Amino acid sequence: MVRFKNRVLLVELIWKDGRIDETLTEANIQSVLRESIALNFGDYGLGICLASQQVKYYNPLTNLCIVRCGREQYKGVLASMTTITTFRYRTVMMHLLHNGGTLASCQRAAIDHNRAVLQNMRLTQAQQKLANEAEEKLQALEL
Amino acid sequence: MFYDLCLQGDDVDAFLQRDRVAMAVRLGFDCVATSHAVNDRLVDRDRCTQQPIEAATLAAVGPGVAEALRSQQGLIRNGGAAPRQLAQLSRLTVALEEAAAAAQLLGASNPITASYDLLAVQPLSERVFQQACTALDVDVITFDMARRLPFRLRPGPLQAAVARGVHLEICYSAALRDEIARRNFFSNASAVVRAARGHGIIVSSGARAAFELRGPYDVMNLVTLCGLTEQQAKAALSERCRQVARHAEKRKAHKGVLTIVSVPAEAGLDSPSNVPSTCYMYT
Repeated sequence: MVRFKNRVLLVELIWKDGRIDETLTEANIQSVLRESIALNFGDYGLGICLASQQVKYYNPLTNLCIVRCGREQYKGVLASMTTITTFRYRTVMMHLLHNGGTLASCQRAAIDHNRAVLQNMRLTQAQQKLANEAEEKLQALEL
Repeated sequence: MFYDLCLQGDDVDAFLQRDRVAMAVRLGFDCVATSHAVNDRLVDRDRCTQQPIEAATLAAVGPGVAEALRSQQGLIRNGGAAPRQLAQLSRLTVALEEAAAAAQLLGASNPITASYDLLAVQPLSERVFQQACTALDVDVITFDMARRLPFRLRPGPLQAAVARGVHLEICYSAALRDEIARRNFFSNASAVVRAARGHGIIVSSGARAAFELRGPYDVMNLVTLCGLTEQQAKAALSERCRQVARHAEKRKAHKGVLTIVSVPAEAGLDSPSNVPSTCYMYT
């Protein structure tokens, strides 16, 4: 018996209006992503994905998102992400930054990306706190 | 190097164009072509007026663009500081229904056609499609991916086109519009891939707005669903597009090898009396 293999996708959400929405969570993204899979691949496609597909992490400040899915289905999941155009009535684009076999490699890429983005941002105190929390959460992620 | 050889260039103001090119840079593209579309006939107004956008203007657009311009591979591998060269090409797309007009319209002697870098034809009938594949002197054969194709794609002519060095284009922005367009996109794209057996295919956006673009790796994944292998998909955004640009250069050069480049008078030559107004360059 071979172990079950996953793919971990590191995705950047690019918003048209550039607004930061701190209320957005992993669960929201999960539901939108599942809707898109159902739209593109139907109930069968969604059912096949459901077992392992999960949004592991979302950082509303740097718009970074980590999605895990089964290795057989990752093409479908990624294509569904590509075809998403709106999210809560805002235009959005999902941009793949890293496609890894383990969470650890994605984590590293995400930490690098977060640092690069946060360097150029001016944050309020509350946002700084949020950023620190998000960083801790990223460090603590486990498969 | 990633290429996007089709941004819709009509009804686009300067701001939209700037945003679009900036977004392409941010996503990791190194070369974009803006396409002017015409139907059946060329008038003097169709002469190329496109100007490349300067890097400084692009960098001012928003977050991510300046960094992407600075680094070689986009944000994530921000190690090297080598500046990236963004190439901007112009392209003419002629939609044709009548086979008779095609040859003289697209001939190299036509000054309007010659003012563009790339030349594409969009056949609207079986006759023109045949002619485009086997005879017309163009770089790219493109199709409207959002609608049903008006004729069946047969492998024979398509493979003849590929053998001649003419490339077939798949525009993915149709997959991002509505459901019908998406269905037609997958149907048409897989038909093209199947008929050409995956050879000689380029993938470009055909985007009207900045948010109809997608990152190169997302696009590669999308077209692997249409039947291309991963290598072919990657080549369709890089190698193949470079070949298209080379093909265009050769098409425009005299007998395929000689180009005439005009040199400004103050280009650094000493005696103004024997400054040549043109010089010859082997490509």
